[in-house]
Amino acid sequence: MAVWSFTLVLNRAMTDADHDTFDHLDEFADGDVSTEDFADGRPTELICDPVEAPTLVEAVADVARRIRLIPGLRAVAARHDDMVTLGEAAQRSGRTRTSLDLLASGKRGPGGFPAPEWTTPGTSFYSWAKITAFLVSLGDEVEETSLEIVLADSLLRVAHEVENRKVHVTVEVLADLGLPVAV
Amino acid sequence: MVSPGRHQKSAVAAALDKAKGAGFEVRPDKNGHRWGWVICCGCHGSFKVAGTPRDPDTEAKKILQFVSRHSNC
Repeated sequence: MAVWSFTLVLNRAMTDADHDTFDHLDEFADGDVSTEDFADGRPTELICDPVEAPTLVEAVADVARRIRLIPGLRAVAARHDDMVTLGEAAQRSGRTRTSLDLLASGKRGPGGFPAPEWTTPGTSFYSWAKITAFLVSLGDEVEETSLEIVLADSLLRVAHEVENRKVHVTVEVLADLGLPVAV
Repeated sequence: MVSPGRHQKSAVAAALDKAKGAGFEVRPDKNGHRWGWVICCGCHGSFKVAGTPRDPDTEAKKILQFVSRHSNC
C-alpha cells in the first residue's frame, strides 16, 4: 500500500490533557503521527508520515478520524511541508527517486538542481517550491501544490464548517451535489 | 542495553544527537507511546518523539525536518 506524508492543522493548540490522551491511544502507537506545538498559541500541527492508505485523501481522512478520538480536537486544514527529502519529492513529482538523484547530482539534465536547504550527514532537505520550479523548467507538468492535497484540505474545511454550523447534510444531499457517494 | 535518556532506536537516537548538536533541547519525558520532546530554543516550539515508531528512519527524518524548519529561529 502507498505511504503518504502531509501536515494537518488542528482547530486549537493541544493541552497537556490532550497530549496525555494522545500518548495513550493505540491509534497513535506506531508513531506515524507526530505533534508540533507552538509557544505563541497557534493551533497544533500533526506531522503525518508515513501514513498507509490507497490515496492521499484517504490517508488524510484516516488521521482526521483518529484525532477526533480526543474530545474537542478536529483537523481543519491540510498541506504539504515545503521541506522535503528527494524521496518525498519523487512521490509528489511522479518521477522516480533514481531520476531525482541523477538530476540532483548533475549526472542527468542541464544541471542547476536546487541546492539542499539543510543538510546533515546522510540526509538532505530541499525546498519543494524550488524543485517544482526546476522540474517545470525541464518541461515537467508538476504543480507546486498538488490537487490531492488541495482536495483533502477543502474536504476538511467543509466538514469543519458543516459541523460548526450544525448543518444536517444527508448522504442524499451529497449525492445531489454530485459527490460520488454510495446511497 | 540502552543507556538511560537515550532512544532505543538507533536511527532516532542519532537524529536526536544531531538535534542536540544543532542547539535544540532534547527532553526525555516518557508517557505512554511518547518518548519525549525536541524543543527549539529560539521559538520554544516543540516536537513530540514517539517511543516505538514502526519506521524509525522516518521518525528520525521528521525530527531532522523539525530542526531544519526551525534552523533560523
